[in-house]
This record gives sequence, structure tokens and C-alpha cells, in this order.
Amino acid sequence: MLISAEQIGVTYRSGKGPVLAVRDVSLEVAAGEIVAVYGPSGSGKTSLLMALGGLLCPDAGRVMFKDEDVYRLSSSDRAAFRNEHIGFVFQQFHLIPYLTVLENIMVPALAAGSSAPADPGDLIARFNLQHRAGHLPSELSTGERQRVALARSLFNSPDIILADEPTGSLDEENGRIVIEHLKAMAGEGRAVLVVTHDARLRAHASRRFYLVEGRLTEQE
Amino acid sequence: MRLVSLLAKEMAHRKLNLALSVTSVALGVACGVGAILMLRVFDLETERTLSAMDQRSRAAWDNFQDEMRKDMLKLGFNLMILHKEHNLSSPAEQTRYLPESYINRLAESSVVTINHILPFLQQKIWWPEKKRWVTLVGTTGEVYVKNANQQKPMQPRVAPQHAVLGFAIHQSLEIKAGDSVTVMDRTFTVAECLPAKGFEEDEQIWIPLNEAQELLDKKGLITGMLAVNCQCAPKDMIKIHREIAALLPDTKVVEHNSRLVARAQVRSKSAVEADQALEREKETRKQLKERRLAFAAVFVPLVVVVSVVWLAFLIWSNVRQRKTEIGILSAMGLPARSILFLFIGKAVIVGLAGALVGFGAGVALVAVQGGVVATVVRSSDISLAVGYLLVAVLMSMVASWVPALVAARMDPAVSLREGD
Repeated sequence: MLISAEQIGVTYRSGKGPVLAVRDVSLEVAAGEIVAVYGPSGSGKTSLLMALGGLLCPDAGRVMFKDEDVYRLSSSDRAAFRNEHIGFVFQQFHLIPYLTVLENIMVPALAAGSSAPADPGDLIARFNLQHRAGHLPSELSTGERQRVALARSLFNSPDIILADEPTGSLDEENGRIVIEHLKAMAGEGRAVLVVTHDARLRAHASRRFYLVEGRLTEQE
Repeated sequence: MRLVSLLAKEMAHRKLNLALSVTSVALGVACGVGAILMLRVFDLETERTLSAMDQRSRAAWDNFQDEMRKDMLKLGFNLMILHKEHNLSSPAEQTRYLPESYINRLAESSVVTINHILPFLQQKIWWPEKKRWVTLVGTTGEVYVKNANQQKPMQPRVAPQHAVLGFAIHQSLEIKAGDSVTVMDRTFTVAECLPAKGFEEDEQIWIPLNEAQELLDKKGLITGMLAVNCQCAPKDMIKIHREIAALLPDTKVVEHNSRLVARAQVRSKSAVEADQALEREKETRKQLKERRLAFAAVFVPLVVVVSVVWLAFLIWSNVRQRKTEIGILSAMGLPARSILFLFIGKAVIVGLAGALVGFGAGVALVAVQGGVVATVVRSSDISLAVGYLLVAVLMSMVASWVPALVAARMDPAVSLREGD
């Protein structure tokens, strides 16, 4: 397995007391497969995704990348781990508003430094953004923004793609394009974990999990 | 892409935040620089005012001295050098004379307390032609002591075979200038008829010294010398006595005390008054400067504190604005130290820009207040500028340190969730 969660639990502190977002969840994602997690809003899908991506330390259990416990790494090593191995795609795209398309795609290079690929030309061509390279996010359509986010997630050639509702804000056509790209990423040997409500996307997943009240169950 | 480039683009994107941050630093620096330069302008003004006042005072003093000198001429000589046994109050004992050579000896000396002297030979005589008692005075006219300031003579020289008559004489005998008078068988042309003085001078006939010596059979002798002490300080009398005694044996110096003291006191009081006025002005300016300094000592730190607080607020607001951005950068693997760099780097740039703008504004403030920039800003102020640059950067870093640390330690999951 490339990445796995072993009986992890995530608790939030709120004004009304602790909230158990993820309870005793175990999940494995192998290279080249697409795993879909779905469930109602507030069921803990995003928390599970963040925990797997090294962004949210679980209260219980552990997250393993190959044979390494991600949360035993120091803060800076975990940042380097994210930079080298994880590509994030968010529902709201989260592009930096004052950077152009080209610069947004190259943001992971800020952390990677000289080891980062110098030319994002291939990615720009792959996501059909050649004519938008110098544009700001505010000048792009919704579909284009998500394509930029996908291109950015691949900039450092990560092993794992973690996508949070990647088609949630898109129309049918753009949603279809994104699904095709995610399939292609898995086809390149990357592990793809998507949190989604989109039945079309789930249909392309190797395995599907249902998450409700923080508990995960595999669906046929 | 590098972090510096990200930093520059962010600043260019959030221009208002940048402008307000730079203004905040500039305000603090401008107040500091302005306070220093304005105090310097005040010092220059003080210097100019006191100098002008001093010049006016000196001019007035010189003018006053001259006026005083002219007025004092009317009082006549204030010192008399006589034979030590000459008794002024007893005509019978007025028979002791000094050698005429004393005139040159005194004139050639380096006595500094006496300016000019009037040698005279004086004797009360029976004027047979007019059948009355008069005092015959022979004089050479005024002789200047070597190195002395040669001012206009107080007593005009009497030309050979001429005479100057006292008021009582020419008035009672109805003699006018140009008339001839005969004294002891010698005829003189009246050169001048003196106005009333109310003293014994009214009963005197002034003729050239050599002619008086012949008439009185006192060849080579003089009664004494009238002198003017021009320095006029009462304490100088001791010095005059000492100098004259050493130079002219068997002499005494008789001073007309009231005249001398009056002259000295009037001059001294005037000089003291002028000095006191200058001192009062100095004291007023000093107090004004102290008040300004006290105000600046409170105002400048207050502005600096307000600037730092305002800057911290702006940076804090910048951190909150960039919460999602910080989350994205963190998710993409940017370490905490790089996020810290983004905010501290911005603080350094804001500090530098604020210092430059503030320094310029401080100098402009001086210009607006009427100070001549060229005279107020000195070449040594480069160290002041560098100092302010460092202080501004430090101030900016202090203000941004806590918000930057919060940003660097922000939980990316929370940032992304709350930023949505």
C-alpha cells in the first residue's frame, strides 16, 4: 500500500465541546487506484482527507506512507513530505489571486527549490491552459480554475492525489474533463483519493467508502 | 518562482495595505526626524536672534560710548598730575612746579590708563592793565600718549600770540573774539571767548605755554598736567597712581571723583543693562527650547508607539486576509520558516520604505516651517538617516513579529477550513 490510515480518530474542539469528526477509520490506497469517499455534509470526509495528507494530526491511530508514520515526522519534514508526495485539489480551487496561471502551477516549486521541475509547459499543454498562462485566476472560468488546480497538484509529480470535491463546483462538461484527468493520474500510477458527492466520479473509483458520523464503511 | 517574487507580487496586489503600512512607519520616522530638525531650526533661529541682538547692542553701545564721550567732554578733564607738595586749597603753597620734560616722558610712555594730557602752567596774577586779579594759564594744547586713540581734542590749542578768555573776563570787559588785549605789557589777539562754566575757568586767561613761562619767568616749568582717564573704571585709579608714580617722581594724581565715578557708573550701568537684556533673551530662548524638548520627548514616543500598534494591526489584518493563502502554501509544502520570511520580509521592506518616506517628510516639514533645508540638514545627518532606517526596520519587525509567528504556526487544516 502506498498510503494508509490505521484506526485514526480526529476530534475538533468547539464551543459546545469536542466533536468526533473521524472515528476509528482504517483505509488503504494503492498506487494506480482511485478510491472514493462519500457521505453527508459534516460526516468527516474533509478531515479524513486532511489527516491522510499530513495536514491534520489525528488524535488516535496513525497514517503510514509506505513504511513511514507521517505524523512522527518533524513539522518541516512533514512539509517536505507534502511537497514531494502529495498533490491537493480543493473544491474551491484555492488559487493564489495575485499569481498568474503559470505562477500558481509553480507554487510547489517555492518549497521544492532547485529540485522542482523548471518548465511547467507540459502541464499547461496537458490541461489545455496555453492561452491562459499569463492570466490571473479572477480572469478564468470555473472549469479553467479547476484545471489550474489539477495542474498545480501534479507539478512536483506526487505519488498521491488527494481531491476534495473536485467536481463540486463544476458544470457537467467541466466535471467530465476533471474526471478524465483524475483517471489519467491514476493511470500514471498515482494513488488518487477523492472525497465526492458526484456519482459519476464514484462510478470510476476502484473502491467506494461511505462515511457517516466519522465511521467508514466500504460499499459495493 | 522564488519567495521574494511572491512577496513582491503580494505587496503589489494589496496596495492599500502596503500604503497604509508604509505611511504608519513614515509617520513615526517623520515625527522623529521633524522633531530633531525643528529643534535645530530653533537653535539656528536662536543663534541668529542673539547674534542680531548682540550686533544691535554693540552698535548701540558704540553709539552710546561716542555720545557719552561727547557729553563728557563738557565735564572736562578728570585727572590732574601735580607736584606732590602742591596744595590746591592754599594759594601760598601753589609754588611747586614740575619740569616741562615730564610732558614728553608721559607722552612717550606706555601708560594705558591715560589717553590724552593737557600740560599747563598756572598762576594767579594781578592784571595791571585792567586792574584785577585773574588766573593766567599757559598751555601747549593737548598731547597724546603714545599708542593712544587720537580723538578730537577736548581743549583747542591756543595759537601763538593769541589768548582765550574766560566768561567772567570777556563779559565784564566787553571783549570780543578778534579784539586785542594786553597782559603784562604783552599783546594778544583774543582767539575765543569761552561760555560760562561756573567754575574758576571763568576767571582764566589761556595763552601758549612758552609765552606764559616768559611772562611768569618759569622757563622749563609747568604746574601740572590735566588728563583724561578714558577707561573710566573706578578700580583703575589705583593702577593710574601706580603707573604715574613710577614714571614721574614727586608727583601726585588728583582725581575729580564725582566726574570719574559718574562717568564710570553711567557707562558700566549701560553695559550691564545691555548684557542683561542679552542674557534675558538667552534665558527665554533656553526655556522655550526646554519646553519644546519636553513636548517632543512625549509626543515623538507617543507617535512611534501609535505607529507600531497601527502597523501591527495592519499586519494582523494582512495575516487574516491571507489565511487561505497561508493554508495553500502550507499544504503545498512550504515550511513555517518560509511563511515567517514572507511576513518579516514584508516588514523589512515596509520599514525601509517608511524610513525613506518619513525622512523626506521630516525634511519637507522643516522646509514648510520656513527653515532653510540646506542649513539645517548637515552631511553628518547621513548617520541620522541610517539610524532612522535601522530603527524603522526594527520597529516594523517588532510590529510584525507576533502576527508573522501566528501565520507561520497556523494549522493549515484550520486555515483552509476557516478561509473558505
